[in-house]
Amino acid sequence: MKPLFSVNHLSFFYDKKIIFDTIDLEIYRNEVTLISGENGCGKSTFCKILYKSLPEYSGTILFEEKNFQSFEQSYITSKMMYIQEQTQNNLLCSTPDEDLAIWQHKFQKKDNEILKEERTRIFERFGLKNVFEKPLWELSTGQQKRVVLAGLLLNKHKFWILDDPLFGLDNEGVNILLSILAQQKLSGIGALIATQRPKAFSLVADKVFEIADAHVTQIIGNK
Amino acid sequence: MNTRTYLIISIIISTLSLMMHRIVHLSVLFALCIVLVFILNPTKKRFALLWKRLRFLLILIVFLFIMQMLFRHDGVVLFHWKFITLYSEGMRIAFIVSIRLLILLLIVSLLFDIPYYNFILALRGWKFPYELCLMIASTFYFVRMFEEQLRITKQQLRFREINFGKIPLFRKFQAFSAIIFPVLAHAMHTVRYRAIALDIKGFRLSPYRTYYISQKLKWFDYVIQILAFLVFVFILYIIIK
Repeated sequence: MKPLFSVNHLSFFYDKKIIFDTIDLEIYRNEVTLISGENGCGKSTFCKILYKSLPEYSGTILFEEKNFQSFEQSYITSKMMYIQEQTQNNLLCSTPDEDLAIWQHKFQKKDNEILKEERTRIFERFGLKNVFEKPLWELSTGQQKRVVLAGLLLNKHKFWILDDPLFGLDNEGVNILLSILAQQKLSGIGALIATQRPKAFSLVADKVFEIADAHVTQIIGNK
Repeated sequence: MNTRTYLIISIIISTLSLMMHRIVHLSVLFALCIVLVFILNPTKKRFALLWKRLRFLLILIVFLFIMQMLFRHDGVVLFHWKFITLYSEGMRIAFIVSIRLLILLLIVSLLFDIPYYNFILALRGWKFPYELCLMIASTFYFVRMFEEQLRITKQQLRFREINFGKIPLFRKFQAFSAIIFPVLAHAMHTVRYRAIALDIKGFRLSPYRTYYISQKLKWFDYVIQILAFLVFVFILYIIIK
């Protein structure tokens, strides 16, 4: 299978500090790839670069075997879903129900019973049945994280980039996330996950890369 | 440069912009503002930010310019075509209002780039009560937070493949209210947490307060402040005369 991303000699500087020094790696669409490392090692930066949120880097990145720079971000957003590290930055509306509804209708069509039923099923799965109409800022960090992750089920057709998805999640939340990742893998779509707890994903992960001292090393998986 | 010097320059320029009623004078003042923007910490990022802020408000300025130009019917007729008549006084007022607004916007934009804590230190340097300093600084902080929240919302819309311009007109209001209300609510919620944090830290429990950072005026701050004041008095004298 051809890689979704081919990262060649990627270097990135921030405030004159080197974050990545000519790193090379490949990410496949059907695999769950983990990026681990200490705080500030560049995991989030790597995710942002692959979602076209940080355009200034050196080296080449191929996306679907074409130059990544040549793609508009609108194309990237249609192919991938990105969950940012800061939970609140992923939320758009006042309530979990409204937030999920926007994923469905995108203000292009009217909300209807079928969409509502789908949302109800998702809320049940994520244990948010009793809070789906509460203001988001009144929910706990863990509940907010669940709302954000619930959006994944409305974007099953996309490749997921998840930046620290375990932050704020309890054990039950982690299990829900693992189950949807496993389900996603069965349908042939994987994810790129930046995490400090790679062991938590041992059941679903195919490859684990570690970023340390501006270099990347593959620690688990076939090369 | 000390924040107090920034504030003095800002107060002088904005006061002069309100007192001047000649296009030439206002244009000179506007040019001075531009020079200030270039002198004070000029970075590519700063100019990009300034342009981003102004671009949004320029529409408002252009709208006001057109309104003044079309609906002020004083002075001599400069141009007439069908139902459009432009008068000399209308044109003059339109220019004055637009330049004045641009000056004020530039000054406000300069102030917004100063870290909010510097306002507290600057105002405390003038012996203002701490509560007042905090309130003024918090106002700047709130506006910047609101700006940041708006940026996050725009980014999130992009991530969800929503182009606001392409939303059907009859759904635009629904979209706008669904998006703007949480922006305000989130910003207010953060302010609430700031208030709680102040309580936890025992805000105003002790009448005396110490500061970890101190902002002392340097020799060039004194020179600029005195020069600015002298220029202000001189221009004021000319205007009154």
